[in-house]
Amino acid sequence: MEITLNHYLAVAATLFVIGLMGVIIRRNLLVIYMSLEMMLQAANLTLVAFSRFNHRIDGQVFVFFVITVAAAEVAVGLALIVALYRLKQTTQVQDLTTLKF
Amino acid sequence: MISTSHLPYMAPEILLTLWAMVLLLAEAFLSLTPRTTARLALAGIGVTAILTLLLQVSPTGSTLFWGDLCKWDGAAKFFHLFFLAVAALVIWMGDEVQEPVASHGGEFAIMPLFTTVGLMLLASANDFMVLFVALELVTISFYILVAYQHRSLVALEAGVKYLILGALSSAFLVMGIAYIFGITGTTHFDSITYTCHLYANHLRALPVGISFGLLLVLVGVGFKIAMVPFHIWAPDVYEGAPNSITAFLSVGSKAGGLIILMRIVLSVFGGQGGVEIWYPVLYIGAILSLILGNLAAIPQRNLKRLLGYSSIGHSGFILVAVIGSAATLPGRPHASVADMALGQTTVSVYLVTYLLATFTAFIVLAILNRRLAGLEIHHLAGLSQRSPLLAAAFALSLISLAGVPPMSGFIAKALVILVAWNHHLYTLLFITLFAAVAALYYYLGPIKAMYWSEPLDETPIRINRSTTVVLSVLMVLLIVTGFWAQSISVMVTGSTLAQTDSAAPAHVALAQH
Repeated sequence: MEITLNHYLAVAATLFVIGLMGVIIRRNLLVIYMSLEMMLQAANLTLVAFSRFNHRIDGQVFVFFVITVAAAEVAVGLALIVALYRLKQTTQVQDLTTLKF
Repeated sequence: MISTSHLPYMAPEILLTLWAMVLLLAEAFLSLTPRTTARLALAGIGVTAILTLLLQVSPTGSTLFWGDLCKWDGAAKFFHLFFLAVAALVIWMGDEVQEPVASHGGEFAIMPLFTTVGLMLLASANDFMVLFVALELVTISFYILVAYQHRSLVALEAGVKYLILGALSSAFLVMGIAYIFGITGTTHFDSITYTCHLYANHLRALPVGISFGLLLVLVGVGFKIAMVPFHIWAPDVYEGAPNSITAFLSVGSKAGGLIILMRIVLSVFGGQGGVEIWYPVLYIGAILSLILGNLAAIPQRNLKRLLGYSSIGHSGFILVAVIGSAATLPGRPHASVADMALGQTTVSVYLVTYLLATFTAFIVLAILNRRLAGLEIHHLAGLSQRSPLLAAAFALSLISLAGVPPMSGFIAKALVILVAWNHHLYTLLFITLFAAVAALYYYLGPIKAMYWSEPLDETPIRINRSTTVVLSVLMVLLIVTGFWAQSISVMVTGSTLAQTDSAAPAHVALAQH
């Protein structure tokens, strides 16, 4: 079987949805954060696949930007989660009740 | 294709980035006091503002620079100056009004510089890559600023909530950009406009991939401007963040989201085909924001949450103006160029009046934060006897936000209604009027408490001279721009997007051969 663009897109879409479900369902901040990274990687995979099949290099360049930005986001995000853990000794979402929705 | 001839257009961003980095190092090695750092940051903003004022908008509409990645047009110039004004007020507030936060270190005055660079880059972005990187620069520096008081549980919770929903919106945005890139083969705005124009001519509609991508991008941008149903972060983050940062979020971040929304929906996807996709999304978003933002604000007792919900409502008002600036709407006659310009100018006018009122309100709240037991409405009781200036400033800003006639907010709301009328958007017009009336109700609550309740504690609240001056200037501007609408047109004249023609951009035309 030949692997076509649609196969890549399907894998990426599945990853994206798994990530989204993780953000919605999971209760641990770190796992939610991992799921968010998975969504970004799904977008990266889409970009690379389109780039490969369109014979355009732009998408691959964009992926490097996304990776760099995601790294910066993780640095700040983990710092926040660590600071929260120090103060509250928990990373569970249901314990974040100071601000009510 | 980077030539030095276009370097001047990049100068504001380059200068401010370098200045922010130098300040970060200087703050670390020379042990500058937070006050000196804030003064130096303000000086950097002043120089950048002068530079921006010197940059002329080209008479033909726009100048592309930096390898066509950025565009300098009337809107870019207006928003550059707008963001610099916002940043100056934020840094001044952090230094002068809320010492306990700022005393943690000078970064509180330096981080807003990075945010401002990101916002300015957003204003001139002409490529999805620049748009993404600039938007993330804004968002990541906001994570730090929101959670700046890292010993406070409320601030950290707000920071973590903003982080998760912000990262979620970025993921949607990148996925959307990936699909738009995948079908059109480019991330460049002008080339996408051209490709969409071709598709619309040949197929009468855009391919599913582009429509899907555009929807995902709208979700991402919807988060930034707090459009319902992507608004859930706003009230919590507004309540938890330091007051100056709440004002920054509600004015700066919203304006940043709006300029890219306008570029995407009005110029990139403004033609046939694109409109059919974004029009229903923004239409429903505007209606929901107007209704939910204004109704959910009514039961709020905490003033920052109240302003948070009201800011969602204001997004709704501005979205009506954005929809009204479209060249063509499904099932309606083509709008004239004058109508489009009126719609875009209305967005600028609304943002200017919103800036004046919001900052007046948050400066007062930042002062009261240290003097009162809390920021609930009942804590304001009898404020007019304790400090007539603060009470008057807060009352004026709320009246302006409500859009009561003599104030500047009225001009903005009247223009929104005029834009909706010109485009025959009667449902939106009706809901806008309803929301404006509902808003009156909750804005009057705090005013009633300040002027018609007895104070629990009679000690007068003293404020220092520079705060008095800034508050007075803001109050005068709020009244003057309302009574004398010409004054506001000086600020917003020409603040429109460059007209895009659907002719092929140079490098697309080359690629076709």
